[in-house]
Amino acid sequence: MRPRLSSVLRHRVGAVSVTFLVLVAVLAVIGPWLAPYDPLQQNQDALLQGPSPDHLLGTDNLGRDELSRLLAGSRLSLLAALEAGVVGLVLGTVPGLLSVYLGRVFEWATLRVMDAFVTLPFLVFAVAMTALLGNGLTQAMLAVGILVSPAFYRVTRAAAFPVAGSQYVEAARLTGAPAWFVLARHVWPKVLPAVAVTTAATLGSSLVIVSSLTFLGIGIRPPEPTWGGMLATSLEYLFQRPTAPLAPALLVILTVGACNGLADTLRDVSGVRAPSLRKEKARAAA
Amino acid sequence: MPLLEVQNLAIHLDPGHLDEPLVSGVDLTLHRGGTLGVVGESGSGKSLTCRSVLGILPPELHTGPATSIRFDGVELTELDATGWGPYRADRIGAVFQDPGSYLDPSVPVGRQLAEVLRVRGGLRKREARDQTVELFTEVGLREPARVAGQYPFELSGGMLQRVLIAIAICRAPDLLVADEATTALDVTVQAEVLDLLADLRERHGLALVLVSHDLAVVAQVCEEVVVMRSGRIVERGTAAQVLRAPQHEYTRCLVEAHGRFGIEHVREARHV
Amino acid sequence: MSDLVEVRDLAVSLGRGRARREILQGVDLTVRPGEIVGLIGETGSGKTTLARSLLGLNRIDRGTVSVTGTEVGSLRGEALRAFRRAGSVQYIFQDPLQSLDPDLPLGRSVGEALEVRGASGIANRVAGALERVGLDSALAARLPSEVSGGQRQRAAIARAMITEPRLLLCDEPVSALDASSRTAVLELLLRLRDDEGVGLLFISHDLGSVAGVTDRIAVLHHGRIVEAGATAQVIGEPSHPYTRLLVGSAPTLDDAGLDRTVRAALRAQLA
Repeated sequence: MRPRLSSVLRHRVGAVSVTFLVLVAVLAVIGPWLAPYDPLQQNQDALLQGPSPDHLLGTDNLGRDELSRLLAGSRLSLLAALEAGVVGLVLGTVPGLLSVYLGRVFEWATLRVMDAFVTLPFLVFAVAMTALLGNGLTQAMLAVGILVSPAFYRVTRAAAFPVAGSQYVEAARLTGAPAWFVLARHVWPKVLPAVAVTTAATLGSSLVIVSSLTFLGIGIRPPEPTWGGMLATSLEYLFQRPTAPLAPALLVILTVGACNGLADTLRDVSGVRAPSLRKEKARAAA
Repeated sequence: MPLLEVQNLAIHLDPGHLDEPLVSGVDLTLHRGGTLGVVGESGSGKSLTCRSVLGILPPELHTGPATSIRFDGVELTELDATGWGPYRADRIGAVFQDPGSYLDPSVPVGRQLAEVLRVRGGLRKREARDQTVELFTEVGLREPARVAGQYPFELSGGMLQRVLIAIAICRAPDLLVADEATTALDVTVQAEVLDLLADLRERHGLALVLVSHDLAVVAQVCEEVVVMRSGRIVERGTAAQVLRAPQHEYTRCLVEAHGRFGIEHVREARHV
Repeated sequence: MSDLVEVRDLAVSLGRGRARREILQGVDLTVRPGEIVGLIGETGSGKTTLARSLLGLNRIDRGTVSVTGTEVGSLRGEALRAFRRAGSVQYIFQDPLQSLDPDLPLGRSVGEALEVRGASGIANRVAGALERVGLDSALAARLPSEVSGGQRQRAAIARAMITEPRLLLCDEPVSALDASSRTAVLELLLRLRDDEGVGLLFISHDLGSVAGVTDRIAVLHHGRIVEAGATAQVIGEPSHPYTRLLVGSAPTLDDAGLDRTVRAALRAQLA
C-alpha cells in the first residue's frame, strides 16, 4: 500500500514526528532571520553567560549568542543529513532496482560492492574521504551517503525481487514494453514504501553521524555553527556552563527520534515488513 | 449407530454466536465403511465443515450452541485437547491439498512416518521401520525402502500425497477425511490417488469423507454426495441421484458445465 | 491466410551445464485461423516451455516456430519487442490475481499495451474492451481485489483483446476459477472465436475440463506430441497408451472412465 500523509497523521507517533520535523525544517529555512544576533558575531563582554533575557540560551566561549547559533546551525546540520540521505538513496536504490532486472553479472557486481561498503566503518571512511577530497561538510556527507547506500540497495532489492518475477511484470513485457516502463509502472510503486521507511530512518542516523563528525571536528568549517560543533564547544566549558550542552543535544535527540518515529509509522501504515533479503529470496525461490 | 453424525453444524466468528454464521444447518451422516462426498467452491464452507469434524477449526472460529458432532457415539464438540488426542491421531485420519507443507522438509519421509508409529503406537525403532516400508507398499509407492530414505523435495506431488495417506492410515483409523487432496495433482495422478482411496476403503473398511470442488471427482468415489454453497447444504442424495436429476440450480450448473465443455460433450456428440 | 501457429520439429533445452535437459524433442503443432486447439500435457510434459517458445521467451535448439507469420525463434531485443507491441498474439495467464498488478485499477492494466504503443484515446478503447468481454466499463476504476474471480479473468481477456490479436494463448484459463465463473469465461472465449475469428491455443493439464471446447487436441508427453487429431477422434479412439490413460483418468459424470485395473495396466505399460 502506498503510504499517505493522512494515514501517517492518524497515528499519534506519526503526527508528533511529522509536526516536529516540519517545525525543525521551517526553523532551518527561516532560522537565520529569526535569530536575534548574528551567529558569528563575537562579544568579549558576554563570554560564557547563562540564560538571560538578552541571551535566552546564553552565550558561548567567544560570546556568541547560543540561540542564534542553534537556529543557524539547524540549516547546516539538516542539509548535511539530507545530502547523505539523498546520496544513499540514489546510490542504493538505482542499482538495487537494476540488480533484479539487468541479469546476473550486474547483480553479482553490485552485491559485492555493497558488501564491501557494509564492512567499512563510518567515521574512519569519512575521515579518509575528507583527507582525500578536502575537509568540508559536503565531502564528509558524501562519504556517509556512500556508506548508507547498502541499506537502500538491500531494501529496494528485497521489495523489487518478487515483483520482477511476477506474472504482471511478465504480462507487461509481453506487450513489448521497454524496461524503463516496466520499472516505473510496476516495480517502483511496490518499492516506494520500503524506500520511504529507509529514507526516514537514514535521515535520523545521518544526523547522528553529522553531529558526531562535526563534534570530532571533521567536515567542520570553524566559525560556522552546527549542532555537533556546538555540542563539542559546550562540553569544553562544561564547568563554567553545565547546562549549555542540553539545547544542542536535545535538538539532535528529538530530531533523530522524530525521524525514527516517522519511519516506524510509515512502516506500520504501508505494511512494509522489516527488510529481510533472505526471506524475500526464499519466497521467490519457492 | 452411524460412525459420524454431524447435526446442525454452525460456525461463527463471534464467540457469542450472535453474528451471521459462516456455516449453518449442516447435517451429515456417515456409516462405518461408507463414503460421503462434499462438493462446493471456495467459500462454500466445505473445508470449515471438514475442519470442525477434525477439531482443527482456526481459534477465532466457534461452533454454534446447537451443534453436535458425534463420532462413534462420543460427542467431539465437548472434548478438550487431551480428550481429542486418541481421536485425531488414531481414529480419524486426514489429508489435505498441499501435502508438501505437512511434512518436515529436513527429515526423510520414512522417518516422519516411523516417528508417528513410535510415539502413537509405542513401536520399537526396528518395528517402526519395518512397518513404514509395509505402509509405503500399501499406498502404492514403488521402491518403498528407497522412498523412505528420501526427503520431501525429492518426491513428486503424487508421491508426497501417498506418503501423507500412509501417515494418515498408519494407526488404522475408522475415518479418513480427504480435503481437496487431489486438487493440486495431475489428472492421471489424481486418478491413481482416487483409486488408492477406493482400494483402502475396500481392504480396511475405512469410511471416507471426500471434499472437492469437482463434482466428477466426488461422484467417482462416493455413494452419498452433499453439495454446499454459501455455508449451507443445497443438495444431498446418492451420487447417481445428484448427477442424473440435480434439483438445485447450482448443482445443475455444475452438471451442465461438464456436459457442455467436458469430455462428456465430445462423447455424446460422437454417439448421436 | 497463413496458419497462426506453425511449429516444426521444435527442440528446446533448458538449464546450464550438467543440469541441461532437453525439454521439447521435435514438436510439431499447427493452429489455423479461428480454430481452438487444446494442448494437453501434465507436469513436466513441456507444455509451458512450448508456450514460452511461441512468445519468443526461449532459445530454441532446432526447428522453426512461426507465429502469425513471423518467425519468433530468431527474434531478439528490439525486433522481439516490436513483434510483441504489434499485439497479434496475446497470452492469458491462469490466475488473474497474479497476472494483474494488484495496485493498479483494472482500466490501467487493460490499457497498458496501448500506453506502451503511445496510442491515443486510450480511455474510450479500454471502456470498449471491457464491454466487449461483458464487463461494465465502470469497473475500470476498480482494483483487481475489488472484483470477483470471473470478472478479473474477463479483465485479463480484455487486456489481451485490446490489441486485436489473431491468436490467444490461454494457459489454464479457467483452472483458478470457481465453477460458475468457469462457464462464463469459456463461453466468452468461444464467442470471441465465433464472432471475431480469433484462434485459440488452450494449454491445460486437464483434458476433462476443456475438451468440449476444442476442435483439435494435441497431447504432449515427456516433450513429444504423442497424439494429435480432431477432438472427437482423440477422445473417442485414443491410440497412444498415454492418451488412453489420460482420457480414462479424467473425472467425468458419465461413468465412461476406464476401470481401475485397466488404468493400472496402462500405467505399467508406460513405466
